[in-house]
Amino acid sequence: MLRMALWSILSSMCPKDCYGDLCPGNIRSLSGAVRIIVVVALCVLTTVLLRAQDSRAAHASELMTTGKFFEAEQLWRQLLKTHPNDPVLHANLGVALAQQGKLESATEEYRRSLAINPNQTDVSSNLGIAEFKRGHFADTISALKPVLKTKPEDQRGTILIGMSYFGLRQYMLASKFLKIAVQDSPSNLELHNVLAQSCLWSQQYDCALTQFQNILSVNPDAVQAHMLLAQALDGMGKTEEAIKELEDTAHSSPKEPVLHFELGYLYYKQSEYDKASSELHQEILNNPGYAQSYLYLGDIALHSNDDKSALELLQKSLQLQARSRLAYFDLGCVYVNQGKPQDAVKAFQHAIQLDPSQPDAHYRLARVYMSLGQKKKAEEELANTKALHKKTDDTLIEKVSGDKVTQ
Amino acid sequence: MTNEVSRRNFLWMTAASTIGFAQGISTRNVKPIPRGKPSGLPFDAWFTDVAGTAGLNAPTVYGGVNRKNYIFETVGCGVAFLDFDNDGWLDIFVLSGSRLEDKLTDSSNRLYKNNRNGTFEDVTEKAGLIRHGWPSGITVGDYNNDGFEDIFITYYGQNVLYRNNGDGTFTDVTKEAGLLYEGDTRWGSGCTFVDYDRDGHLDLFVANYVDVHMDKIPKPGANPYCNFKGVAVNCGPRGLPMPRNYLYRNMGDGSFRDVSHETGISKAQRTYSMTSVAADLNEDGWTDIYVASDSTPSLLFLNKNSMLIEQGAERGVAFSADGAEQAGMGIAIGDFNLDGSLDIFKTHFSDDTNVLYQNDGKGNFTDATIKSGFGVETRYTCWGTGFADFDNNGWPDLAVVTGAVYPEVEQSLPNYPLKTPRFIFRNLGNGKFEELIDEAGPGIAASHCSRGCAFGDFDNDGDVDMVVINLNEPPSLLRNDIKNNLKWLKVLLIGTKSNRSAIGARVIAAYGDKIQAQAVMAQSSFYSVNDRRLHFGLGHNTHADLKIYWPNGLIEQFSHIEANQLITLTEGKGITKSLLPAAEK
Repeated sequence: MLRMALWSILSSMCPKDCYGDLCPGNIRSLSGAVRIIVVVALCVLTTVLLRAQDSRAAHASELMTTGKFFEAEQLWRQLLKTHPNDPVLHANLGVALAQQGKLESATEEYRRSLAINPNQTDVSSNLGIAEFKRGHFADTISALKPVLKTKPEDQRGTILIGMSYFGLRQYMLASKFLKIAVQDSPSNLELHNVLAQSCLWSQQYDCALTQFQNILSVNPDAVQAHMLLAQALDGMGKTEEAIKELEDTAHSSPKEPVLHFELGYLYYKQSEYDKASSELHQEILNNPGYAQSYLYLGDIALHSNDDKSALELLQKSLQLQARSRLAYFDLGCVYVNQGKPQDAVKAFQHAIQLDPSQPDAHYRLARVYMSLGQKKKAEEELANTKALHKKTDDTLIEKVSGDKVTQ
Repeated sequence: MTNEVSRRNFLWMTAASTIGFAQGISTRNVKPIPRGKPSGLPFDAWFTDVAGTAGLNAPTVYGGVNRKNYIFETVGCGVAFLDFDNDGWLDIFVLSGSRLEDKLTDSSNRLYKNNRNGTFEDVTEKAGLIRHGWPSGITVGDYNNDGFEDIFITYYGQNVLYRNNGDGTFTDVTKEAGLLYEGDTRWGSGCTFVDYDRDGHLDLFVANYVDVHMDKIPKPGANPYCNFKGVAVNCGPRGLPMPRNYLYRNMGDGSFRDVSHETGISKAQRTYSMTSVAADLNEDGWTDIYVASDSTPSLLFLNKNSMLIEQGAERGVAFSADGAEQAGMGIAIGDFNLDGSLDIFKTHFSDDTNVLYQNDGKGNFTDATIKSGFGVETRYTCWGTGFADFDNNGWPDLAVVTGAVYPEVEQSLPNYPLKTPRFIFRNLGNGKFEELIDEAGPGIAASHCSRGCAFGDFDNDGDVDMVVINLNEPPSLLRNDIKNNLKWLKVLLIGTKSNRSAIGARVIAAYGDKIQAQAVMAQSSFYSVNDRRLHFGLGHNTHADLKIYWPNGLIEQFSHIEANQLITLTEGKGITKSLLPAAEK
């Protein structure tokens, strides 16, 4: 899903920028500019081969320019039998494979080429692009960072590294590269959007706000941008303004998926449970398969001491999205309230399985074990609770004071 | 984990955790639960601030007025009700700190002697108690069993032990008591006299809050943890090193010896320790110690034959109900549900509830915060607190004093004022409490930047008054003028085999169909000391029965004691005195 989303963003950029085989989908749909880039690269390679007086290389190159990649692949393979250590042949084979969508094999050939001659910026670029298309974001970054060292002005590399960090959820690093990319392509709204999200999720709210406002100044009806702007406002502690932004958006786009959930969530955060419930129910009407609406309605029911409703809503949420830590945690609390400790144990265990780093489930589980007289298990979970808190506290001390905690 | 990135995931992850970060103090970012319909019941206690007319005029200087660059300027200090001259009238000892930018040479702790007419006289100098510095907590007890209450005060710097000479003067005996320390400066915080080994001599538990190294402490706003709602503020406690706590054994010859290692105190997890209370919480006859910890797990040292074993998490008093660390500051100990066991109430930072832990009588606690009605209040940073039956109706109520820690925030965010009101949670008698502010009088509704507070009957009129520390202002003396004629009983314990102050004793009063437990403590509230005379409101009951659990294990019972009097009970000797000067209203 994430990869598809990134490809979608990149697709929209292709007409404006040249990314070689960066653009997703069929190579035949490449823009003319992209084709030229590929051709130029091949010409260089062919020249080298021509010097080796092998006419098959020229033919293979010609096949590439006419889009006959399978035939070209066969020729490159034949040539490699006689020149197995020629980095150019491996690189060209890689291109032919990549254009056929054989990305794994393509990356293997690029790597072979680079193993023989590491100083090939174009090959590194192609490797980075292929790895990106495979969704191997860390490998993309490894491949493209040397390219940027050699060619710091390389927009393609900058964007891809930024996108890869985004894909890895390293939003602070993503924003660092995407800010440069946006400067180079100021009219690219999609790029602004990814940068805005990177800023939002790395809690650079001022940056996020600026980017969303840029997007909305060009396209005031961009509902998604309004929604993300609201998130940025919320992140800055301006929850009331975020609510207003979403209320206005809901007025003009009442059927927009997830919008009513977002609004409901903000009301929930403000403890305005009646309003939150109303919006969450509206989201269910628009978008009945959205698990988190049921989850937060369940949470509200739990905190309103309506265990029966909470149980139904949380179970529905889990039917739709089985891997929800909060749903299992709340479910455990409901079971405790209902005097069903064994069920509570299972629910808390499930919550811990999904995210063992949260102390609350460990602590709740410990309390249930205590009530069941299972002292040893309780002590283990209490130890986990304390250890998680201590880790956080000690990390903070190291960060803020620079002191290594020894106790 | 799913690989999908949902836009809401970011916020969801935040919501999934019950702890709020990115500031120097843990708070759960809890919103108050809706208030129910008001009970409509009249509240017969009424508090008026009479500090000015009573002569309590010296301000408690503590750090900058408009800006505080270091955490030790913010925390403030405690106050004590004590009868230092044994005249049967409560005197008041008010701690006072310092200021970095313009040192005030006349700033000192103040001892106010009760003139028995509603006024006080400042006898600090005469008593030999002038001292400048950064005091934190106070504990009062007769450590040398000579019949006069002594005083120990923690400091950011050297703590001090004052021996009461019995003639209206005190002597600093810190050095001869062996309580001077060497090495890095410590920030003493909570402290309590406690006879942990039941030898009849009061030992001393001393907590430390934060290791502050002035050369290392980041400047305000230097990182996200030196920030409150976007405003640069002083750093800590989170992110600053944690010190450990100490236990000193009273050797019976005027000196103390550090027994932290052999008793287990030093083995406990380090925390940002604050108020410390000594009471027998698991009812096994040995006095335990509970320590409120700021932004870290609170500590419960259960006393097993002089070994102090930390069991806060195991007993349910270290965390919130969801296992979150809370900003523990003050502690009230009392029997809110009249089941004969001592429950714990602990105060926290704003955007979090305070917590009520219900005791099962064996030292196992359950979080009763929400069901008892305390979840309605999360607006204020809460400090001093205490259970007391303010209207004498037989059900212990609870008071809390409040005040923010960052004066600079108010200038940017008016919604976060520095000075905030006090509040009373009146006990409705059905397991629930109801919050009262204006209904409890102007002394409660007035806004101050308060810290410690102490509870006691300073005018001997049969009700419980309060004295409150206000930073950079004089204290408040909240006189309680009860509007009813309900009955009460005061009990003063004098130990003979037990420590003379009877610290650690538990008293159960039975009146009508009710029983209520109270404890004699040497510190509670926030860094403060209450009237050592226990006060029981009896409602319409004219008599009460008493059961005394002395610290050394002796249990004594006294029946059919008449209401509206102070009785003094001497261990093994019965009722030796029944006089409360000018007790008639």
